[in-house]
Amino acid sequence: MSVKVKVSFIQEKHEDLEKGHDYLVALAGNPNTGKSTVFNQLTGLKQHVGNWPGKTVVRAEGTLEYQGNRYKLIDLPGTYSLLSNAVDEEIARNFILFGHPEVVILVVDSTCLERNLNLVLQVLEISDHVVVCLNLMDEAAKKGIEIDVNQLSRDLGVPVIPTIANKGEGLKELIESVAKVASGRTHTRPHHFSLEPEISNAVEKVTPYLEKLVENIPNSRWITLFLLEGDARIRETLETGELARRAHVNKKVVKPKTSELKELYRLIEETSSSIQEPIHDYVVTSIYADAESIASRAIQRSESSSKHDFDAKIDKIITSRKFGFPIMTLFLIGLFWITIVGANVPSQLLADGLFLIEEHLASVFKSLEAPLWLEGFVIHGVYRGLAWVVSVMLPPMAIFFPLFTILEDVGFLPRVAFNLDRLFQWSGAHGKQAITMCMGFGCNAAGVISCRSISSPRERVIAILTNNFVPCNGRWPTLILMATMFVAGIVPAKTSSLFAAVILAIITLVGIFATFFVSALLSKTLLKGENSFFMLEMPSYRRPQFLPVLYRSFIERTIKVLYRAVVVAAPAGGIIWILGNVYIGSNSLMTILAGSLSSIGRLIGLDGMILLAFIIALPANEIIIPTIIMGYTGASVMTEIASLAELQALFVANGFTIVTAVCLMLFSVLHFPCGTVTYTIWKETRSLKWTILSNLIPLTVAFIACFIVAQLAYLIGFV
Amino acid sequence: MFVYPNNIYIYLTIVKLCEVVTGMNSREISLQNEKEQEVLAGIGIGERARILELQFKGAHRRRLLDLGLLPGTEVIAVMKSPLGSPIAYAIRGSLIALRREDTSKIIVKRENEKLKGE
Repeated sequence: MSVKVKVSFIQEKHEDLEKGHDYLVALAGNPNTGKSTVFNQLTGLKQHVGNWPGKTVVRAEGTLEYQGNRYKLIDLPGTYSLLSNAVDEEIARNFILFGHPEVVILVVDSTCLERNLNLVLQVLEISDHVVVCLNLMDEAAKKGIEIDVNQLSRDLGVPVIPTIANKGEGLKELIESVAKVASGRTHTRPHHFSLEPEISNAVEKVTPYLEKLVENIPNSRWITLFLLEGDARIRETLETGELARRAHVNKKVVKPKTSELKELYRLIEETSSSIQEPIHDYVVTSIYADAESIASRAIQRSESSSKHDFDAKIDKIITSRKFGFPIMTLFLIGLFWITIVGANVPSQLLADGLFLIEEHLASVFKSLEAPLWLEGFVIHGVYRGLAWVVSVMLPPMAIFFPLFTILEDVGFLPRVAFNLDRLFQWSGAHGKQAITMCMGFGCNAAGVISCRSISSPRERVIAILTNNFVPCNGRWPTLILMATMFVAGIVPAKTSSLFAAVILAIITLVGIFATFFVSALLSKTLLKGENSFFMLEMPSYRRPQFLPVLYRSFIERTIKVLYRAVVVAAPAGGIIWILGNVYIGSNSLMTILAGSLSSIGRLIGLDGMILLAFIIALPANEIIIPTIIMGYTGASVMTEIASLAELQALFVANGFTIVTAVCLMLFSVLHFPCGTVTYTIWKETRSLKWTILSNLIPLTVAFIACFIVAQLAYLIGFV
Repeated sequence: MFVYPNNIYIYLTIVKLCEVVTGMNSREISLQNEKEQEVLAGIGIGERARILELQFKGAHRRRLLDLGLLPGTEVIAVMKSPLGSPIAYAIRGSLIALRREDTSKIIVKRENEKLKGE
């Protein structure tokens, strides 16, 4: 179902229609309007999620069938406006301008109509085929806002359909209206905002020239407005001939002549110099003036509102000086607790099941009389590595991500960012980094991807490079094991589990401190620059949709984890098996390599085997402990030792002390990201420099931290 | 994840540490403007103000305008982050958090009426 888009939006549309779609429908709207809910409700499970060509912005598309016609729905990125140059807005703008959608559905938050009308009026300027979906009608009612839908529809000149998308209300009417507009049965007369005479005169003057330069250019007035504003991207598309190509259906690039371009620019220069204030100001002022009058005609607001009070009360507690941080901390601890405890049983079941399969596989190999090395490599190496990762990783992720998504949908996470922003401001980073860090606790690769929500490139790179300092689900088992086995061993048994939890919290705090420290360091050195403009919309609290959330985050994560296990962990399992089973003289490769790493390892409080485990477990942090055990026992396969006492005895026999345990925990939290995360960073930044630095920085930090701890411990004669 | 202490001082310590590390103290920077003109940063929680002027250029200005922060727009300061910044404002029916360093560049006229219950 994936559509490769290489050349242009036009071509893409033709491919779509070839695939049997009758109409192309774009879904636009402000962020937090329930746009994705509308999209999910309309398309159901017939979705494909990819990226916009050349951009790291998610592109979701789906199919809707209605009365024998197939509609292709494209979910555009949520934007406040089409007038700015942020990547999201550019994508939305280009698609509406040049993608030739038959219908644009504008999803509008009816609780703040005026602000949403800003975007609506802009879209009405460039597209005639618009249906406004007036969503969140129930929230508006709770807030005491009543909207006269007919009046609004008359004023905008397009159909307006009230909906409550998460309850499915009004969607039938929406589809019907879309179908009518698509087939031309509904005739629209979109409202056009009135520009100041100064600006409209300028536009009148330049437009004919542009129309001469690029024949049949759609929305020439609007494009002229962008040119007058000095929009660099539009200029670029004009100069390269891209604009002309998008305007025509033919795919040939015809560059405009330099002399003609010069003439156009001269004209623009001349006209815009007579306008004093920035043109953007004029345009936005005109739009908002219209939005205000349209909204005031449509809205009948009643004063009392229980919902508003309810939100305010909760916010007062969640953001208070007294309770703000404790509540956030409790929520996060609760999230981890449910994840870790809840994952125990399914993890065990999965492991049992997968190892049962292993036995069967082994007997198949035996009956085929396959050579022993092949059986070892495939079953004890590749299959076991895979099984290990799946059983350790899958259950916590399947629990963590739905819970996380629910916290996000409820509106809790923006409050976390709100409470913590100042810390990030001090380290030159963005408040939303708090959310990407929370995501990182589940999986750093997911955390890195979630950094897309940070629009400033500088702050986004900071968030990406430091995400690894929060320990992910794959590292929790190692940390918990070390905390319970060694550190808690020094206190009485009664308090040991509590003490282990405290140790875990401290280690996590160290990771968080490293995040702030490295963020600050980066924004002082490599990523110097002013803090970008920070704004955070705090949506109303909403009841989450449990089923879609469960379905989406569970299925998507499950498939991703399985895929990752196959692609990444399986070969690692194979390599580990080879290292443990290829002998030079009387020593296995593993022993030899560990020996050569031994002196560096000791320097930072570890040993050669642990360091080797960190290196060969690069693809997946989950297999670090099994690899260490394999190395210590000299076994030829990764194994688990059931009893904690037995395991502790093995570790102590190999020279483990409290210092080793502490350094191992520190190294685990601070060290270089796993292979999947590194690959994700490369995909997200497309920069070799940042990808390398994302490994070098944590490695350096981990070395220094462990070195200091180990040497101090040796110095004071602790061990 | 943070350890769970019952007061805020540990967080303020972290703030202080960051301050030392970055050598930045945003309070000093942001309050400079307030002496001459009334700015949005100086509006207390529950108070109303009307926007007079945005002392921004380029992309920042566009962002604010797109959110509906135009000269003449009425704004209410609704809530403050535990660490003092950002502050969330009710702007045209939505709740938007802005940092102190940005709101100290938004010139406003205070509307004296204090809202009840907020």
